[in-house]
Parts: sequence; structure tokens; C-alpha cells
Amino acid sequence: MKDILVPDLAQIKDIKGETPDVITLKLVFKDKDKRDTFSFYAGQFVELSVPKEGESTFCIASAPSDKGYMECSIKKVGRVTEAVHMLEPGDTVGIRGPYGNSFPIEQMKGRNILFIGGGIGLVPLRSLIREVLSIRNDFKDLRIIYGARSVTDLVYKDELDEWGKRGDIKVTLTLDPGGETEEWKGEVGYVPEVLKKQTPVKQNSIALTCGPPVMIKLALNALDEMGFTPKQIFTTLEMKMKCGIGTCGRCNVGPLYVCKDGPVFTYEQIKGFIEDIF
Amino acid sequence: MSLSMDETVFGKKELLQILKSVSDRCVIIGPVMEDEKLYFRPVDCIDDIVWEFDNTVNSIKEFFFPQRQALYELKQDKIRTFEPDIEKKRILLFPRPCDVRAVTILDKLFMGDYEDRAYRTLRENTVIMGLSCRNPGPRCFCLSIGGNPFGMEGMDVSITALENDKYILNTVTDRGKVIFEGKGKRADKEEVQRFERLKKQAEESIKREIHIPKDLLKAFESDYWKEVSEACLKCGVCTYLCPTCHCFDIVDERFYRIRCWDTCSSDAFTRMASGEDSRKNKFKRYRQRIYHKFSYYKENFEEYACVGCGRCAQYCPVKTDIVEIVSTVNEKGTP
Amino acid sequence: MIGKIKKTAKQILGDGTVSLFLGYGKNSLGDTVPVFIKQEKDVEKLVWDESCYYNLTRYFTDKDINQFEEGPIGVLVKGCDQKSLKVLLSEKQVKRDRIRIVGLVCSGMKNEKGDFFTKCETCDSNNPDGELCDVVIGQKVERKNREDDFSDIEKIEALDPAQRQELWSRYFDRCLRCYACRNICPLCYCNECIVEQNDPGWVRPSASKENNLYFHIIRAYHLTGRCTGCGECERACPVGIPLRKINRRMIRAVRDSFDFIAGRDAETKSPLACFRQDDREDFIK
Repeated sequence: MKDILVPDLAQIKDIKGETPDVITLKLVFKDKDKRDTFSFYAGQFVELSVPKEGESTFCIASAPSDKGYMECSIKKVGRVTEAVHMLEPGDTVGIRGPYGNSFPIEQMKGRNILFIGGGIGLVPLRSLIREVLSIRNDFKDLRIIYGARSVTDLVYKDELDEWGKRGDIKVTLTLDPGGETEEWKGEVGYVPEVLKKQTPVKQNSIALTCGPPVMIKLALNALDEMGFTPKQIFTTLEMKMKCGIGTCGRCNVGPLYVCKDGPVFTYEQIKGFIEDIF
Repeated sequence: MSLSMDETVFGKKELLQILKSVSDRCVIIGPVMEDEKLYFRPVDCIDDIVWEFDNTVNSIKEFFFPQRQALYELKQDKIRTFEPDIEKKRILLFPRPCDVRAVTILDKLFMGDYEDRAYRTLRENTVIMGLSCRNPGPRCFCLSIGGNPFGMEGMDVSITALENDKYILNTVTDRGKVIFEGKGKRADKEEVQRFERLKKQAEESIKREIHIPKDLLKAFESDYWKEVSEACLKCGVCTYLCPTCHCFDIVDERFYRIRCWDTCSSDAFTRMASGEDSRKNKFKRYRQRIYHKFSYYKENFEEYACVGCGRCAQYCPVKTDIVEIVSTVNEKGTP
Repeated sequence: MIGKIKKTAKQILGDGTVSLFLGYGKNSLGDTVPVFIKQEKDVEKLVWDESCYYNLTRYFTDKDINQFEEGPIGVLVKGCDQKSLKVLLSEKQVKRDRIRIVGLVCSGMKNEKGDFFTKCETCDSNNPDGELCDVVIGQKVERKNREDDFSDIEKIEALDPAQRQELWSRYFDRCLRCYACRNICPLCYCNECIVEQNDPGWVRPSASKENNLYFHIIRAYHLTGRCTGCGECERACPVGIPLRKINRRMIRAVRDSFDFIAGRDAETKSPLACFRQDDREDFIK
């Protein structure tokens, strides 16, 4: 039995550029058994290793129903992510996981769903949105509010376009004030502001948010003001993580470990420790 | 815990003899002097072991959870894993009841939901022979946190000094029994009574008490934490010497992936590559340390992550006293 | 002396000259601890005895302390602490008008065993420099201490390389990388210490032989020409590494090469921190 901190090897099959500093890797496990048996739920993450550089946490961006491969979207911020950006198709990386809990799909069925994302925060939500759209009729009203600093910073541009063209999901895109171009036809304003303008209905609804810490904080406040109860609001947190299995102590928020009890949390679970998160 | 009738008494010479006879088959780790301080180290010569002492600088956690541990090597698309060296069994000699109890507390984490194989291997390969505390130190407070100076939790054998040359042994597990089978003499009534008297004496001599408030969470947002952490240097002395602290870092050194000790006090603990840091201020880190030990660990594993050894207060370069800080929370911290 | 200390502290807190006063107090175990006094009523906590060994100037470079209060900070300094303060002033880490310096005459500090610290046996600053104090408290004392002749360092230098390696390996193998030495030093104030840099990872955090050696050598070099030998690093080390010896070896080197001793005045920067056209070069081979 392999030790839990030792990774499996995977090969990069494809690299897609999303923004100047974000790429999406398409990964396939090298070992056939692992390839056949690997499965995960939307919201879970993996620990990706680049030999000699280190290991970092990345949410799985592909949907569980995408069989045979796994996608991760990676923003260039530090040593490991810079090294990832230098990799090419055919290179090997280490993968540990999947870890963490997942989005509450069963709980979401039969309800109105509101996805609120900012910048790179659309990544974990994308896995969920793809999964939800594959069983669209199980849900009621679907709405996405997504924003970034500028047009170039929007991730999954093609997919956003596709979703916008479907009739069964409302997509609102917004850019931070100052980030818009002349051709921009979407909204202009910070995500929490745009959220408030939309006045989403709170009955029988669930809101899920992910993005930079300051955006999550303001979005949580906005949803609170609009009457959403803490149990109706979900967020996925990303903290500094190392082991991914609840032992190294880095990611804990109160008695909860983001890697083991999360990364998906209700606002109810974390509101006592907001001071220790943001 | 009173003794049952198969407790045995040994003279010091006889004990030394037994230890020497197993020293070729086992690695013996015991308290030895190094530059005027006492440390637990693997010993080359049994005679170097110190038999009477307060407590060592290091605890015994490093023998199950090493400061530096190579997890694997990832080179040229191949992974090479490492196993702990268990060619010889290990005997941990004379750790105090608090240090041994700390290992049982760490077991809950390292052999919990996700088992750490190397940790389990080392645990199974080690026989622990603890030494009761006849003279607890002025900073010890094990009694008020679930321990006992004559405690036997986690030990294979518990050794107590009766007089200068006589030692009474209580074999707690079968592993312990095997080493001392057929040796020594049965303890007589007088010796058992002496043991009980010494135990009571030791318990009564512990004056320090920690009072952990049951509703510690109420004080989470209090300014109290700013006050008590002002002098803190954010170093790792308390963390690394603490027998129950277990947070670690995983780093790459050339092609090796290494696990090493880390402290929640350090600047980089929660800081992410983007610069975001959920605990930018010193007081938040100090608060995290207290809460992890006295609230979160208790909630997750039903044990406080503290055994009352007192090393943190003794070795802290600015003498921050955890007992005082935790015990005064209700008085100063809650609104 | 304690009466005058309390009176001074009370006065400058009371009239608003300072918003924070750094001094020495006691905890519930009777250990001396650094105290941070913000209100007149807490002045009673101050103590002065032979266990007030802390170098309180360390807190001037503690980013969290400066965040708490606005306004000047008062501090108690002994002669040795004042030397570190002079280096901090010369490096512009502290502004003279933002601090109020209360100098204390000191006849030596004792460790927990009751022995004088080695540095006190060779102390040349029992009386603090009055020119860099707002107040001096205590009767001037005549110096009775011996000079620091670096003889203990010469003894180590007399060992052959194999013996020296064995000696220092024994010390550095004990190092836990707790960074107590670095964190208690008034002059180790880098926002990001070289050992914490991940990209590139100059020195990795695990306590391997090489990592420990690199850390201590780099720290010694980063303090060369700046360290005043206050010895807090050695006192803070939980495993008894003789750090002050390493720093003194460099103090002697800077004295011999540049005729410069750190902490003498509050203007001149360390010779290793600046370049002058007339710098000596004859020792470069």
C-alpha cells in the first residue's frame, strides 16, 4: 500500500491558454488502473507536484462526467505555478487526490442556483456548472454572475459564450471599473455590486461563491443583506495547504480543516471564524 | 493506578545488565548530557544514560515524527519511496509520563483518518520504558490537564525509583513483559506501599494548575490576544520543543520531497504565493496556537494537545507563560 | 533606581510624550518578562533587577508593535542595548524623535543559574551613553571588568580543520531551525528572511547538516559589521549553540580589517554596508 503522501504520475496531454497568466492543463494518469478507477466529485481538489519545485493545491476544473481525463486551471503566482507554466504536453507531473468534500449537488436539486465567481474563482465553479448543466432539468432557475479585472482576465471565455447562448441559464459578466474596453457589452462594476443590483430571489435558492478573498467577503455580506440565510450560502475556500489530508495544520479554520472538512463550506460553518480567514 | 502482584523490583546493576544485554539487538534511546544540557539521544554507551533528572530539552516526538523526513524522490518520471530504518528494534528509555502521553495524543492524528505509514512503523518498532516523576519541576502542570507524574498511559513498561538502588517495574504490555521475563524479584507489600506513598508525594508537590475555560470560543474576537502576544517573537521554540505540536511543511530539496517541522507562529505559515495571508498579525497566530491546542484539537480528537510538561514556558526566550494566558482568559478575555 | 524608573515612565506616559513604554516586568512564575505599558496605572508592573537581560530595542523592528499605537515609544536601555539602538539609528530603522530613551546604569545581568552572563564579564558600557539618552538613571559606576581578548575564539582557531568541523557539527546538528536567534535579534529585521524565500530556495527549512550550516553562516555574514555582541541570540537558543562566539569572531575581523566596531556611534554605517573610495584593499589577496 502506497504511502498517502506519495503521488501518482500523470502526463500533460494538452495545454490551453485562458488568460496571460492562467493555463488549463489536461491531465491523464500514466497508470492504467488509476486512469480507469479515478473519480471525483465537483469541488474536490488535487495536490499537483512539479519535480524539484514543489507541490500545490488546485481545484479540479473538469466535470466528474468528463471521463478519461482531468483538467486543472493554474494561475502563475509563485515558484510552483511558474514552473507549471514552463511545462509542455508530454511532461510528467505528480498528482495526489482527490481530496476534500464536494458541492452539495443533491441538496441543490429542485432549487434556484446562483453561481457567483470572480477571476480565477470560476475554476471550481466550472466543474459544478458543467455537472449541473449535464442534468439541467433537475434544477430550477440557474444564474451565473462572473467578473474579472479586465476582458483578458476572464477565464473559460469560450465556455462562458456557450453558456450564454443556451436559453436555460442566465449569464451576467462584469468587469471591474476601468477594466472595460469600448467593445465591452456586459456590465461594469465589482461582482458584489452587480450581485446586489440583480436582486436574486432568496426563496428556495442556493448561492455558491468563489473568488479572491475580498470578493468572497463582500459577496457573503451582500447575500446576507439580501436575506439569504447562512445555510443557503456555500463558498469554497482556498488557504495555504501542504498535506491535503488534515495533518500538517496549515489550512485550519477553527476546528475545521479546509482540506478535509472543506473546501466547500456553508457560511454557517465559517462565520464564527471570519477573522481568521479574511 | 495501584500495582498488581506481578510487579517486579530490580537493583540498578541488574537493570543495567539487562539493558546491556539487549543493546546489540536494539537501539537504545535515553537521556544523555550534551554540553551541560540533557537530551534524548540514541546512546552508544549505556553508562552515559542519566538516571536522575528533571526533564530533557527535547521530547520524544522526534523519534516518531522526525524533524526531517524524506518522503520520496521524483526523478526522471520515476518515484522512489523511503522506508524508516527498522533493522533493529528501538527502546525508548526513561521518557517521562507526560512525554509518553503526548505520543498517544499524536497517535490520534497520525494514525487517524489518513494513516501515516512511517509513523505507524516506528510506533510498532519501539518499546517505551517510561520513568515516573518523583520530583516534578516547578513548571510542571500535568495533573490539571489529564496526566499524572506516575502515569503509565502509552508505556510498555513503567519504571519508578524506590531508593537509590531499587527500581520497581510495572510491565503494562506484553512487549514490555518479554524483556524482563523471569528476572528481578516480586515486589513485596512494603515496596508497593512505598510506591503508593511516593506517587502521592509527587502528586501533591505539583502546585501549578491550568484552568481551561469550557467556552474558550467566546473569547475568539477579544483584544486579549493582542495583549498577551505582544512580547512573542514568532520563533518556533515553544512549537518544536512541545511534545504534542505536530504541524509540518513539505518542501522540495533537489529531487527529494522532504517533510519537516513547521510552526504556526512563522510569517510564511499561512501566506500564499499571491501574498494573501489570513493571519497577517502576530496576535492572530498566537491565538491560533492557543485555540488549536485547547479547543480545536479537543473538538476533533477529544484530547487537549497539551500534556503539562512546561517546556514552552521554560524555554521561551521571552518567558511567555501558557498556563497564565489560558487560565486568565475568562477573567480578562470574555466580555 | 526602580523608583526613578517608575516616576519617569509615569511622567512621559501621563503627559503624552510617549504612547507606549517598553520595560521589564514579572509574570506569575516570577520570571522577568518584557512589558508593554500604555497606561499610567500599569507603570507599577515595572521592575529592575539582575534578571532584566532583555534587549528591548528588538521591539522597534517588530512590525506588529508599530501597528498598535501611534506616537513615540519610550524604552529602557542598558549600555549594551544602547549599542544595538545606535546601529538601528544609523540604518534609519528608527527615528530619534520617535523614541524616548531612558538609559540605565547596569552592573551586570545574571542567567537562571545565577551566574553573570559572559558578556557582562567583559562589559565596557556599564554606564549608558548620556548623549543618546533623554534620561539616565543610576549612579555612575567605575568599570572593573576585563577586556574581551577573544581568547576563547583563538582556542577554537587553534584546532585543526577536522576537530573544528567536529565541534561545529556537534552544535549545528542540534539546531532545530526555530529561529529564536534570528527573531530576538534587534538587527534581523528583513521583511522576508533569506531562509524563508522559496523562489529561489537558497536555504531549505529542514534541519539537515547543510541547511543548518548555511543558515548560521549566512546569518553571521548578514550581521557582520552590525552585530554589537548583545548575546541575546545565544541566550534565546534552546539547545545551547554558542552563537555569540560566531558573531564575536566577525566583530574581531571587522575591527582588525576596518578599525570599526559597531554600536559606537549612531551615524556611521557598517563598513560592509557602504563603499568609500579610501576603503582598505590590502587584505584582498
